[in-house]
Amino acid sequence: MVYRLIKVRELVVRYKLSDEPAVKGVNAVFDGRCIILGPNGSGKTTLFKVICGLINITSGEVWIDEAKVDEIYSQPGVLAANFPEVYGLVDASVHEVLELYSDLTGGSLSEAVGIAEELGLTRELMKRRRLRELSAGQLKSVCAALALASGAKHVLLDEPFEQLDPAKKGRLIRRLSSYPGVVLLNTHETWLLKSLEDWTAYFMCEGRLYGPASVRDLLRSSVTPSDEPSAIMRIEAGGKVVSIVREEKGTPLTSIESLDRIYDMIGGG
Amino acid sequence: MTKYMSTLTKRMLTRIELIFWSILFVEFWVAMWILVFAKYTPPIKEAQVAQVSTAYGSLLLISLSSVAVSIAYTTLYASKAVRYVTKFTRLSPLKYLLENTLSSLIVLLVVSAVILSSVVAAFSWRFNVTILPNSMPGIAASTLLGALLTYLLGLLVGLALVVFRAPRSASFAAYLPLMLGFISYSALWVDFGKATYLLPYNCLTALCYYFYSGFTPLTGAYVMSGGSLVSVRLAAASLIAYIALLAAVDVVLLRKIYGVGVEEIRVV
Repeated sequence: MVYRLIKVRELVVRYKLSDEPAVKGVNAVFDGRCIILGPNGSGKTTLFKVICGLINITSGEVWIDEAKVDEIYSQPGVLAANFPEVYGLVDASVHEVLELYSDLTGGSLSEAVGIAEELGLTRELMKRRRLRELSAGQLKSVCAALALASGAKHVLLDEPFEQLDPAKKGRLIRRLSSYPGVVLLNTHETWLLKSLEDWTAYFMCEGRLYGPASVRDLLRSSVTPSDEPSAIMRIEAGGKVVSIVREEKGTPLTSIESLDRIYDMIGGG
Repeated sequence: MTKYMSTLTKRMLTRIELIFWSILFVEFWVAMWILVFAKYTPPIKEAQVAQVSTAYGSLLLISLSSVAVSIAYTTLYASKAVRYVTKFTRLSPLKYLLENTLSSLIVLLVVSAVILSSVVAAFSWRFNVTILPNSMPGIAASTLLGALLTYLLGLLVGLALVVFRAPRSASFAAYLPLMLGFISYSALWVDFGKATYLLPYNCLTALCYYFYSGFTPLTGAYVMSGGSLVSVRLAAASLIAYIALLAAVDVVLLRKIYGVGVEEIRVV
């Protein structure tokens, strides 16, 4: 049987024992195409890094297909991510990094170069510049290209649309929609929901994960800073409850450009 | 083998800091040796052989310890990536360590070969006679031990910076091997006595001197009055013990590694 899912059970992550957990008892099964929405600092990136095995788990489990992430070694094609630091194996030019990772993952170099070009990098720039010399937007593009060209069964993309212009965002969405494996991405922006109608959405706030819900439902939903019994999701933020409801009772979700505004809505910081 | 080894080797050999400090800077000292230190060397074969041997041993440790700085930085830069690639690519932890070690040893041996060639060429010009190593296999073995020591030392510094999450200290800590190199270089003027056996680069200099010249090395003050004689066996045993100790500590640190993000390193 070919598995294509990521399971997270009772996951708790603390950076320091004395700190508040960054991820608080998360349970989820991610398959198909999933998007995790949430304000900055909500624990989305930490969750992704734990799934990749880059951060220690305080308690709980992460399974990728049939294996625990801590027990996975030397398995190309299982998972790929777009964190810039995981592509810093050698301080080399962008093209050399693309060549190196294509060789290590068994991915396609021509596809990696093609995606990077689609996302605005020229071949000359890829040969001339080192990865660490790229701008933040260029770095995001190259890392997305590396992750998608790996052909991995599971691809995790952390804020892949940040610092991309609208045309490049559109091209990246088309790439994601046609990707044959599990795609799990996170963002604090809501504009892209309209382009991902058939995806499954989760919310993450203050280390807790809420959902799933279909993006189609969310497109017709509103956010209200009150505890509504009929809510699709009730999210705890800043000690208060924010409800996502089907009816037109608050601010339409898609009109909130950044989920960081949730804290403004509840009168927090 | 994967493309990792060739990419890393190429990138280290073209790293401007490595070329400057481990080759060009040392070439300057080769020039100093033939133009200043060798000026008053008597035209006696033994004296000339002793001088060339001292020069090679001393300059080699400066050169190798400079490469250790690059190894430390490379290790720090790659720390987060190592965890990822050993999980989700065909570069297993063992392959990574093997290819990383081989690549670094190639770089260290290339640099050593450049220094050996320039020392031989420069002193041939100065003395009008070519003085080659008395025991080429001995010099090769000593240089290999020196390369291993340097690799493990650079790796130790890089891993320690990662494990103790201190990338901001890199601009100081990465230069510790070079400082160690210069401390041992001071054996040209200072007699280290029994402390020679406690300083791995002093042991390396002693071995190089022994295999280049065929004479028993000194505990220091090579260009002064001269120290006491070094036991070559004890120096070799000390160097090998250091290599084993560093390897063991590196393995422990490698198991603890969880990486430092590239953004933290960028600040450095």
